[in-house]
Amino acid sequence: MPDTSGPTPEFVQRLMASQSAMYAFIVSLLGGVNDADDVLQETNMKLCRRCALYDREQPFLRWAYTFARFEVMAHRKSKQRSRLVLDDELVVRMAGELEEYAEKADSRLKVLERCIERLNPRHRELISARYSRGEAVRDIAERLARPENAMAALFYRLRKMLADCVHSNIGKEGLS
Amino acid sequence: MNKDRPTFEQLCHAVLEGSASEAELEQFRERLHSSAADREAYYQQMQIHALLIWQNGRAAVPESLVLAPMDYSEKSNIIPFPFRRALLAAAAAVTLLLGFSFWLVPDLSYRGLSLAVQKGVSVDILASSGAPYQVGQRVMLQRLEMQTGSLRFRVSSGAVLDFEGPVSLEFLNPMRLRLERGSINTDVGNEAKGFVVETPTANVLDIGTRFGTSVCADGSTDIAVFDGEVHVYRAGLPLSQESRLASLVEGEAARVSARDAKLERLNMLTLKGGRLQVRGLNSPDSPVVLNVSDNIKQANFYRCYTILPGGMAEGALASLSFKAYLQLKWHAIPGQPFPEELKGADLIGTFQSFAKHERGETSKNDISLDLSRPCAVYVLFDTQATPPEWLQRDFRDTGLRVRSGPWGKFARAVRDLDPDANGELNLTHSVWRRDVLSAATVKLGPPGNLGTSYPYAMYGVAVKALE
Repeated sequence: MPDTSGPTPEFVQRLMASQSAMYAFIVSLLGGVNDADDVLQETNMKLCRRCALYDREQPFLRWAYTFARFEVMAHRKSKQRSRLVLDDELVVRMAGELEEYAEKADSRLKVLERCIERLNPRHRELISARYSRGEAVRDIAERLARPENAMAALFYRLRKMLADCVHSNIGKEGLS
Repeated sequence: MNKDRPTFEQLCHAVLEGSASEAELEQFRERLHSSAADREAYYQQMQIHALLIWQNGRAAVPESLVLAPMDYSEKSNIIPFPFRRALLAAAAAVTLLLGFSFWLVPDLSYRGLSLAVQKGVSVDILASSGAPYQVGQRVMLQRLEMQTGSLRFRVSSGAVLDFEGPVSLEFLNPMRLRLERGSINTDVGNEAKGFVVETPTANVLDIGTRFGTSVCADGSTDIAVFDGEVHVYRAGLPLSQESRLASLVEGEAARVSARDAKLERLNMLTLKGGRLQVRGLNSPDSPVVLNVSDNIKQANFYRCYTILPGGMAEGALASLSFKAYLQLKWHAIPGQPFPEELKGADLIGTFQSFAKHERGETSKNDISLDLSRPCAVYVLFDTQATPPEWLQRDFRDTGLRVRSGPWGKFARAVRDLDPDANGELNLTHSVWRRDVLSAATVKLGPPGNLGTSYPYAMYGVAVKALE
């Protein structure tokens, strides 16, 4: 039964602070960004409706991930005739594994910002081209006269470097 | 090590880019089912991919989860920001819960507190320093007054704005803002072509580019283009052929004066740090170089010298002359440290067309540096060329060497060069020095001797105060 008292300001603050982590969780389970915003919106609505169930002593993100997982599954059912990247078994398995990463996930965005600053200028420019200016990897490769495969491999390495940097610096005061 | 890893990289790439075929998806799923290491790699890739998309505001977050901006002016009846923000966000969530939209409810009473509709355009905060926003927030902005601090955000139209205080601006809509005071950098990418910056003296129409706009204390407007092209129009008139003052392309800068609204070349532009950005109005000028000018008298010529105060270092920007992705920079000679003597000097960016030869002869152009105090002037000269008479006469070769690059393969200056180990074309420059013992104007001549063909690189310039 939906809660009718409404979310408290504290609840909404936690919800807002968790948006980027929830988005990343949903994108991972969908296998891409298509429809991820819709699923996030549905998840937010469910969380607000069920806010009375939240135990404020428990980590918010783990609780929110559970709702997000259900919304991903519901979304998959509605898209049964569309091409899906992952199968059901994988989604369930991966959701469980990803929930293990929930701790401090809501601070990853800030750490990521600093990790990007630590990239060399050329790599930072590539990240900016792909994610800030929205260029496709193929277009970047063409513009720089590099093979697409080589450029894709470079982006893979860059994301790996950033992931390692975030992992090793999460929870620390700052990066030097 | 897993020999199949490259294949997984390729599969991962295809999935992230949304270009995987059915067969590739099948292989991808098999890999994820069978390998915990591949799943771990996938989590890393997809999570960073998603966070980068989120960070840059490309995720379409529901409008109803938009937060309200903090009021900058201190008013006693304003709820403190964190609590106020939470309340407004709570209102958004309540709106979700009730299933109707904010704009239908001008004032929503929630637990006895009044919450107002926020006007303006939706922006995603990408970077914030000393400003009351957090990275990742989405806020509504209509009017912004900032005395200090810096902010970077993406407007819902796709344009990314970057600036530092003091700045005063107002959004008219997601594709148009009015800059009343201060400096902003605009990157419209491919999505927001047609973005317009209005100022008291000009309208700047961006047709796919990155550019900086400054409204100075006297109301004049400075415009510098870092990539692509902008059209500059007279203020207060519709954007038309009749009101257009000029089109500026990458590496060009101009000023529309407050006095007569005429457009003139801006000789010199001080950049912010090592980035292609105009700086805030209060950022420090070079303590040594007061002005850089030349003797080029040519209609519709808007090429610009740049200054990076104290910016000479490994990787420092050498010129605005190339596309942003091929920015020319100064580098150490491989295997050597960057020359200590040059570090921290004020770096003056020159442009290659200065060296352009006409009718087979070197140009007769010269550059004037107005210097405010005793200093060392350095000229970084292309070692492929013969040093001109003025350089040999007034300067001495320090024996130091640096490189410029990477150069585009079609540049005349590198036509006889082979790529280095990284496949890049870099030029070696000799470092020449002249000590100027008091405030003075120093003239630097053309890069080659008169009467000779000159297919080489334009020289660079650095200036450092003497102790």
